[in-house]
Amino acid sequence: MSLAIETTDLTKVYRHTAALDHVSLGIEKNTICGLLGRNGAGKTTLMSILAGQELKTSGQARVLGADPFENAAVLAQLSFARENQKYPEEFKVSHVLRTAPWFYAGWDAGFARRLIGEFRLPLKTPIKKLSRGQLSAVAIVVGLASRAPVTFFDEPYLGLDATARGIFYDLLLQDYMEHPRTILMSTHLIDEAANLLEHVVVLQDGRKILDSSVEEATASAFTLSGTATAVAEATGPRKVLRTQALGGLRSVTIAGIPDERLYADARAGGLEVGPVSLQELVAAHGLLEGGEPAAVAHPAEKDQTEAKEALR
Amino acid sequence: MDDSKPIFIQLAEEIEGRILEGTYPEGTQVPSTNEFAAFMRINPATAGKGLNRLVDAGILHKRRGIGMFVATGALDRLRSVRREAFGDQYLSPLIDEAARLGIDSDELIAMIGHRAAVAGK
Amino acid sequence: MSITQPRPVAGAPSAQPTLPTQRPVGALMKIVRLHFADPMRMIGVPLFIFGSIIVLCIVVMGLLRSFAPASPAELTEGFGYNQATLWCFAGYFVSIGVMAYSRTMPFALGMGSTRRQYFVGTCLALLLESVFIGVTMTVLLALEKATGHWFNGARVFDVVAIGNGSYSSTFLMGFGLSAAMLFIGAMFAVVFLRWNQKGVIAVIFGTVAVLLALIWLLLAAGVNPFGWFEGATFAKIALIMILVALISATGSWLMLRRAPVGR
Repeated sequence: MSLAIETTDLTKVYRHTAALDHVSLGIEKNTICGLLGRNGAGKTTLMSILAGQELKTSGQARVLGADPFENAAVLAQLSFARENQKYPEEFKVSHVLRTAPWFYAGWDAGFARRLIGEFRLPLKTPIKKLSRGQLSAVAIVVGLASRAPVTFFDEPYLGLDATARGIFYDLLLQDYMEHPRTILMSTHLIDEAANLLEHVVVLQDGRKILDSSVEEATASAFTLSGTATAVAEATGPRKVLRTQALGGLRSVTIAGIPDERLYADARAGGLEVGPVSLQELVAAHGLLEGGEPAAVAHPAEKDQTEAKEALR
Repeated sequence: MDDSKPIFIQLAEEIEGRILEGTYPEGTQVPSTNEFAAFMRINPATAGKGLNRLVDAGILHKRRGIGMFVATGALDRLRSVRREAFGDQYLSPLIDEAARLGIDSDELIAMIGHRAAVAGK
Repeated sequence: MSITQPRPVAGAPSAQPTLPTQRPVGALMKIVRLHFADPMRMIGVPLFIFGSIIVLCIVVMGLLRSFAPASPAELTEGFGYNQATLWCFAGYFVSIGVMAYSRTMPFALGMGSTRRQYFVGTCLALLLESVFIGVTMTVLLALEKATGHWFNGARVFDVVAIGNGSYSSTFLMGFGLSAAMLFIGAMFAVVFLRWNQKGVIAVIFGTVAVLLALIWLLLAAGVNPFGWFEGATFAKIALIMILVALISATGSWLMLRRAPVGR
């Protein structure tokens, strides 16, 4: 399979900070890829450069084999609705429906109408009067109905309730299977989206800390839980990514693949060996890299982020 | 579903379970990868991996352009594999828990006999 | 959970017949059409502004004829210096130019347009809009003359400031003025994209400084820059306006090439 998106040492520097710091990654064609990381990790900057909206400072970015910047042939294959996407003044949803087909060869007007119905979007309300969730729904409608060979979703779920998010995930999967294409989706809701993803890229402070298939990623570590002393004994010199303790019990995320020796120790110590979820893995990497846990690891912090998003 | 296992193994075990209880008899077609993916809300590549695991184990067989079917002999094969795993998967934890609760083996056997009688099996 | 049957995916398949697929629109035309997609902004509001001025002037004229101690002929003569049309759409057109880059551009780029396509298409749309305003003002001038200045002597378009009753001068003034306002607005929006608030302020001060320096230099050299305007005044003013639009457009493109969009 060939790569739909490829970057080499991609770097973006704003005044004093590096929004992207030598990011090299590759995303295969026709996969659903998750772009994970905390706010400010560089997710939107990466997508903006790939969509030709921001200029890179150095390095290479390639979409469908070519530099996307001012490349009409590449950009015509691309759809990118930002989390804070702007629309022409006074535009209504009906205007978006009318103008979007001019931009996409594969636009499916019937599917767009169906999506509008699924998300109960009002056609005649000015977009600036829509709620946060309705704004997200507009971006979802454009992203899905455009059938663009490369589609970016930038936190497409903001303001949507669990039901609407479920509808989005179902429609995304269904349409992806009928019309395979490359989808890059940034998200904080890792547990919710993990099963949809085939590939995952994790950014932190502008650096890439993970770029692999979800399968390889989750196979790159495992959890071990039981009494603190037995866990410590069985862990030995292995690299611990994350430790959670509750009373005398302890659960550790360990890098690598469990071997026979570990299984034997686990049996002897009454320990449980389990796979790591994508969410746990990202949280574990957060601890490893920055010395502080990733946002996803802290329910309280996650709630705060959501509350902030709701206020916007 | 059991979250302690990778999703493709969960899918494979779920299908095995359906075959064992007769929902998918030998020789019949099972839903497609995409149908399983949509149903479980998982990436089709993951669903495909679960199904391929069963193909590799000889439980399902592919008919090009048509779909996947339950292989002849799948039931026997599944039963023997599961019988082998039964001790580790079910008996060991049962015995461990019984020991924690102070149930000795005679009592445990009696309890199992009673349960089975009540369930009519 | 049961997986005997695939769960129906949310929503029934579309019951509507599939809509006819639209002909792909050219890269530039789609940008032009995008600007006119909401006809209120480019056509409705300007017409409404002109209509309001006409009504307002008729009412003012009516009041003056009832209460002012002057003859109707004198009043009509005085209305010839009415500058309402000159100023009414300046502000609105600057805002159209600004929104073309602050709001419409992120939308078009998100849908896969290039900067170049967007810029050229937008220039075409703004020029079309200027032609539309020039034509509208000329037609309204004809209407004004045909109705004896709106039946009560109120002069709105047959005025000194925008062509002194000449059709060609009025068209040129309408076209030049709107083009200048639209492209200046567009340029400031691009400056904002590239350098934010600070850039906008710097450009305003810079422009004023350059203009003042130019006039000072000409005066110091003993040349009266305003003398040049005598004879074919309106054509010359329009020419200056068109030059301003051209310079703004060129500047916009140079800055736009490296400006981040959509943030």
